[in-house]
Parts: sequence; structure tokens; C-alpha cells
Amino acid sequence: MSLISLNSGPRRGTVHAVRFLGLPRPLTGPSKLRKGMPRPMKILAALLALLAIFSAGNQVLGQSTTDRIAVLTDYHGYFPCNDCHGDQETVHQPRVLEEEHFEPIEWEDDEGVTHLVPLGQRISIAELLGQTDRRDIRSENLTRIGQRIGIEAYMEANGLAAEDSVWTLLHGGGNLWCLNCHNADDRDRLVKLNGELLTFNQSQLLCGECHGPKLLDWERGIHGKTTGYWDGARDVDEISERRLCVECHSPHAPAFPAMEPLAGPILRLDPPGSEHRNHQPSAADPNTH
Amino acid sequence: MSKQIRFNDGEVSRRGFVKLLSAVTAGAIAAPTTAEAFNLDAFMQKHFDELKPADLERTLRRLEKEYNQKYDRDDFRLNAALPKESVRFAYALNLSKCIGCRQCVHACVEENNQHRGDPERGDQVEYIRVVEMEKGSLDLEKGNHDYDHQVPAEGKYYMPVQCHHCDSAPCTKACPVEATWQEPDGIVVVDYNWCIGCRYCAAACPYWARRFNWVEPRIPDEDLVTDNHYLGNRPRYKGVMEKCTFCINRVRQGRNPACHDICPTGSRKFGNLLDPDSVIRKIIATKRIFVLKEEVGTDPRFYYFFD
Repeated sequence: MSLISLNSGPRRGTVHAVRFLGLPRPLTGPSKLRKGMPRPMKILAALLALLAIFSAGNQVLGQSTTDRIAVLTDYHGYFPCNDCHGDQETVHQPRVLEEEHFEPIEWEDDEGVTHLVPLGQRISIAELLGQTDRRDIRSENLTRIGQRIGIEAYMEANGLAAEDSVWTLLHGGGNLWCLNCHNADDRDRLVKLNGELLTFNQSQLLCGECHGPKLLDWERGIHGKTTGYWDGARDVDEISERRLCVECHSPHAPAFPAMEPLAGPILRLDPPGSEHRNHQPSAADPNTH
Repeated sequence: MSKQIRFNDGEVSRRGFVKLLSAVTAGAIAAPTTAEAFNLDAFMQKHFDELKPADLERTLRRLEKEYNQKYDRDDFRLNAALPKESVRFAYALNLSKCIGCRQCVHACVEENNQHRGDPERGDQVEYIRVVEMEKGSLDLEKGNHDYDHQVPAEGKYYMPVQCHHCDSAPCTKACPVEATWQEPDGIVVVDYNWCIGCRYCAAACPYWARRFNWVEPRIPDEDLVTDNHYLGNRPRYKGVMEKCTFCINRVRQGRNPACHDICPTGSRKFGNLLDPDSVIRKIIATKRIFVLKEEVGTDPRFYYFFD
């Protein structure tokens, strides 16, 4: 006769009958010795928590991105963009860029190589508000909600209508602005979170701050487009190419737009117009239905 | 004639049969020897593995001349570059990055002298097939290769399929004449001059990777690629099998296959399995790779992974 069943242990809050001297015994259940923390202790813990929150609170709760950056980079109370863009709203909730930030810019790096960096895009507000995840099938809807709230606030603040258009920074779901990456004092440099400056041909280190696993993959050659030679030893003309992040992903609107694929397979030798066994209805071919 | 061959009830007599047979044989011998130039060298060409270097050289030059004549060109260059030592090719494809644009399909067609069919229909022999799959499922039966909408579509991912160059390839076992085999560097090749066109290999392949030339291949002059490998992208004949060769002409010179270089998202990776620093080894070490139809036991060298 087994004393205790080993196959199923006692569960919380239930009482199992145990064949021990033939008597049922409660094995679990709330102990009568302790009912949790005593009341004075609970009050003290609550007070300590409040103290912690409000003393360090400026760094955690309720602070706008601007103020946080001001604290980190000593720009407190000073928005450097206003030096040139005096007409700019200093509400940074919507990451909306004005005026000249659209045409792709050319810049020359230290080796004299010219790069073309595509910037954000001009988009009608109506489209921005109604935008679905078509452009980035991997993003959560949350980023769109964040942008939506920001855009609506901006529209109200500036008397804009849905048919007006704006320049946008479609990166980070409304959580980023210019100075997250750019250095306002020296616009030939990018700035990391710890204040370190980077040149534009080290930009992958900046992207890697948020996209760490992707950076690791890129460094191994697993991510990103590579052309040329698999056998580096035979690449005497050194034409094999790796690409920096920004050469494929626009830093201000990184999501790839959807595109039309090239033509699909036509596997049967039937003349056009005849029934196909494996056809799908398509707008391109009027003979299908 | 029919009266002399058959009895009244339609049966063929012995005499009639022999007459018929001799007439047919005479015709069969006469037709190729008189209709087109009968090439003794082509007829007596040995299996590729049995060709001595001098024979191989002669064969390549003869084929160059034939191609130049056939396509009215003067710049065909055939080579039979040998596999490099300590090289074993493998391919990896990132299914999270593929957007189903089909650029690889068309780059492959342009590189490999494939048959372009009716110019209006746009049908052509394509080695690569991009299958649009439902997210959350690896059920190939729900895959669709005919999609005709903007890509990538919601809820779908895209899986290109081509010859996997399996280590235990059923196609090479099925070939009755050994016209297809696996080279030491892992590429499964076809000798188009040895293939008899029985299509057993196509039936054996679980991935539908092989293509047959039902008609004489038509390649427009401006699309001809004249720098060819004997086992790779030289123009094929009517009645032979063909398939992806990992762009054997390019990879044996150290270059990437055409599909690899054209891919706009960089989802295709290619390299040498025996080189521990190669991308393909790093992918195997860091990503969860899988192969298609693993249960069939073909041991493919085409790895898929999600990122």
C-alpha cells in the first residue's frame, strides 16, 4: 500500500487524501502562521515606493523626449533647429519635418565617395492617417497609432486639413526626432546615445544601437545585399560589394514600399485564351476569368 | 503495296513484314545522313567522365563551331572548368526577407540561355519558382506560384524553389544512362549531349526542379550568352533535360550565381561549406535552417531560414 502518490503531487489550494494511518490530511492551503505582510509594513513599503518614484521621477514618468534629450545633451530649454527654422513649432510630438528635408542629398565621405541618401517622403495627411501596414508588413499597428495621435495634434495646432501634405519622419513610430541621430552643432556628424560622434560612413553603428541583432547579422554577412564573388580570393578587381544600412533603408522612411512582381510562370503550352489548369484570375490577363 | 503486305482479312504476312521493315530501315539510315550533315564526332562522343583532356578540348571546339553556325555568331566560348579543391557549395535563403519580386527568376533566365517561348505569351523555361505561402504554415499544397498582385502581400511569405543539388539526389539515381551526376563540388549537372530525354529524373525529383525541352529552344539573338560552361549555360537541344546549375560558369570562377546577385533584399546567400569563415557556415551556426521535404531523404544543399 503506497503511502503517498508520487505521480501527482499536491496542488495548491486543494486537499488530497493521503493514505497515512487511514486519515485524510490537508497538505497545502494557506498557512495559519502568516497572512502576508503585516499592515505597518505595507504602509511603509508604499511610502518608500512613492518616494522612489517622485525623487527619480523626472527621469522616468511624464517627461517628453525633448526634455530627456535636453538633460542628456545640455540643450535644456534650447531647441537648436529654431536658429534656422524660427517658424517651427517646438511641439515635437508629431515627427513632422518641414520644408527642405525631402530631396535626396549627396554627401561625400572621408574617402571621397559620393553617396545619395534618400530622405523622407511627402505624404498627404489623409493618407498618413489612413495608412495601413502595407508598407511594412512586420510592424505592429501600435506604431501607426502613435503617429496618428501625433499627426492629429499637429494638425490641430497648425490648422491643417486632411488634404494638406507634410514631410514625415516615418521611423520609430513617432518616438524619434532629428536629434536622436543628428548632431545639431556639427551636421557632418551623427551622434550616438552616449554622445559619441560618428561619421556618416559609420552610420551602421548608429542603426545598431536599436537594431542590434541586425547589426550583428550584417557584420557576419548574413543580412544585407552582397554582390560579386563568393570566393574573395579571386576577387582581384575588388568589385564585390557590401552595402551600408542607409544604402538600402532610407533612414527617414525605412519601410520598403510594396512593389509589382515580375511576370509569373506560364507552364502550359496552350494557346492564349484557352482554359488553364492552374491559372489564377488576374487583372493583367483579360483571358482569365 | 498494301495488297501485297496484308492478307485479305487485314493481317500482315511475314513477307509483307520483312518488306516493310527493310523499307523503314533504309529510310531511317538515309534520312539523317542525307537530311543534315552526319557528324561522326558527335555520334561517337563518349561520356563526359570518360573524355580525356584532348578529347574534351576537341569536343568543346567542335561545339563552339556548331553553336556559332546554328546561331550565326562568332563569339561562343565554351569551357569545362574543373571543380576547385576543398569546395562544397551550399545555398541559404532568408524567408523573412524574400518579397516575392521574381527578379531571381528572370535573372536566371537571362544568364542561362533558356528557351523563350512565344513572345506574346511570355512563357519561358524558368528554373526558379517562387511560391507564395500562407504565414504560419509550411504546407506547400497551399502554396501559389501564380500570384499577380503587389508584393509582399499581407499574411504571406515567399519561398523560391529551384534545384537543391541534393547530396543524395534521386534524379541522379533515376537516370538510366548516367547523363546526370553530382560533381565533387556539390553541383548536380546534366550532360546535354548524353541525355536521352526519357525524363525519369524529372519524375524522381521531389521539388519539380528539372525542365525538359519539349521544343527546339528559341533564344533571341540579343539574349544569347556566349560565355558558357559545357555542363551549364550553353544552349540546349530539343529533347534534353536542364535545370539550375548554381550558375556553374560563374561559381567556378569564384563569382556568385545570378539569382544571388540580383536579389534586391539580399535574402540569398551562397558559399563554400568547407570554409569556416563563409557566410553559409555562419548561417548554419546562428540560424535555424531547415530543408524542404526532409523526410524524403534527399539531403538538399539549399537551406531555408526565418530571421
